[in-house]
Amino acid sequence: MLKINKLYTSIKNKKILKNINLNIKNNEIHILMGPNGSGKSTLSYTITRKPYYNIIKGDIIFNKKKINKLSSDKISKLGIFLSFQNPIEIEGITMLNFLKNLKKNIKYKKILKYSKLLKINLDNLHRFFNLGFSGGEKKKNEILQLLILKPKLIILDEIDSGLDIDTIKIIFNILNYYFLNNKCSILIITHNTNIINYINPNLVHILNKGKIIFSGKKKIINYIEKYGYKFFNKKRICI
Amino acid sequence: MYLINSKIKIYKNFDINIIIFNNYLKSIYNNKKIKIKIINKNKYLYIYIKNINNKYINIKLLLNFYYFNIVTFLNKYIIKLKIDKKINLLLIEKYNLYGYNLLFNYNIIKLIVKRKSYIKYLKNINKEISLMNKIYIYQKESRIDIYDINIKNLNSNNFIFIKNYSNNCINNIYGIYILNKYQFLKNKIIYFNKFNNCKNNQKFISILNDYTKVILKGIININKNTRNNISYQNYKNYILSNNVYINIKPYLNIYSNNIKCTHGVNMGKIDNNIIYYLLSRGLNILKSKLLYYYSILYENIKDKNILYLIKNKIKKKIKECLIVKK
Repeated sequence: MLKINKLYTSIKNKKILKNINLNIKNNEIHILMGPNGSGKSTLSYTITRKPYYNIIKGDIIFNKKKINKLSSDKISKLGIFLSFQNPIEIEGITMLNFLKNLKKNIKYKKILKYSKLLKINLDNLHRFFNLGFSGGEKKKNEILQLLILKPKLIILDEIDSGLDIDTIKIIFNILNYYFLNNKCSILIITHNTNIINYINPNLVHILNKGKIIFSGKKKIINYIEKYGYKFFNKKRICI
Repeated sequence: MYLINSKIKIYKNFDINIIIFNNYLKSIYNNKKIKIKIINKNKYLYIYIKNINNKYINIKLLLNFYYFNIVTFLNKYIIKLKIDKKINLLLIEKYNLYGYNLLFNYNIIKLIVKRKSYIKYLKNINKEISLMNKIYIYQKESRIDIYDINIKNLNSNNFIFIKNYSNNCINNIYGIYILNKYQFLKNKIIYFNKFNNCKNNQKFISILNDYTKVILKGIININKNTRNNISYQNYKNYILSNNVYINIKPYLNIYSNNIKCTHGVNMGKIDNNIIYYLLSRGLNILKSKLLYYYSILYENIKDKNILYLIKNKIKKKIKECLIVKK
């Protein structure tokens, strides 16, 4: 579904990502981990073509289509959804109006149904977009948008940071349900090693200093928890 | 005269229609809960709205200005409005223009508001006219919200003077200016307070494009020995072109210690992170910018009735600004 070949990225002439190769197939869940400042969020922004995140070299291919030069809105329309680490606040537009703008002909009943699934306080729908919401409520709103847009590739940038256990369970239950009922792939960016309790990834990648230094099955998360990321810097291949 | 009369409209959803053109001032009203005293001289109108029942009543008043190119080069009207106790008044200015817009027009509106009244004043210039507007407000223990909206004016020069005559007065001024091409706007607001427990909130949002020129000045005066007064003054400016000229001077003249006061000016371009967020949700550039600007402007108009009246005009104007830019 998503193929990244030899990707080099820079922001204001500073090289961030160096030679990234990633292949996410249909119906696969991948986890991307790494120390702070290693370039995880940069990768997600590069895929969705945020301004000033320049591609120096390499290709991003989504469903056999090169998306290097497409704009963010076109990429979104192709079916890539990015859930933000820090969702923005917009004063002046209500949550409900915003959601109605996202998709034509979306019915209020459907929004209500999804909101109830996510246990969102229904009063929030009539409040300004994310304004004064708690961290958990903002993340739930991101998932609500995901359910409305129905994307093919979901990128979740630290969806579990700052959330209580109950909220994490609700979010991952819905994600699992969505994953099973729709043909899609998920890329989760996280620091949380307990994530394997909630979701079953096909592959785990470790990113350090702008490079994917290791890819393996989910058991490598146990090694991260035990030894930290330094363990993978020493190029131990047999795990 | 027949031609002019054929163009004049009376809006039935308003309790009082005041029609103003050339040397002619006409007033029509249809509400039995109020009593109106009118003095109508040449280009001078005095209206006293009296509450008969001594209960709270809601009134809608329309000041309907008509400008025809056949009149002389200077139109000057003086309107004095006196409002009795316990009246919730929605006051709307409407401008109708027929013919060329090179005329220079001059309006003076005096508002005298008695206790426990609430006035919502919508000053909406949505016709291409050159206008000098002076508003004097004298209030006693009442609340006045002014919505100053400049969208299509060619050359407008506004002056608002507010003076309190008792404690517990509230007045808010919300300005929305969406200008493009060669539009010019000059605004001066003076707030004068000698009493206690008064609130004054001034909030202005402008979106400026092309060669627009804007001069804004706000003065807050708070006298000695006053207590618990609150005053806010905030100007937000979004600039879409490098040729825009802005000159903003917020003033605070405070001679009292027991007061909460802030003033500030923000100037700049739109937040790219918000636009990127909206783009990443599948909205195209134009739609995401429109949504962003609406959200900025609606932040300033929290009254639903007022918002309903000006919503479409604002949408049209922002679209015009953005599409030309594109």
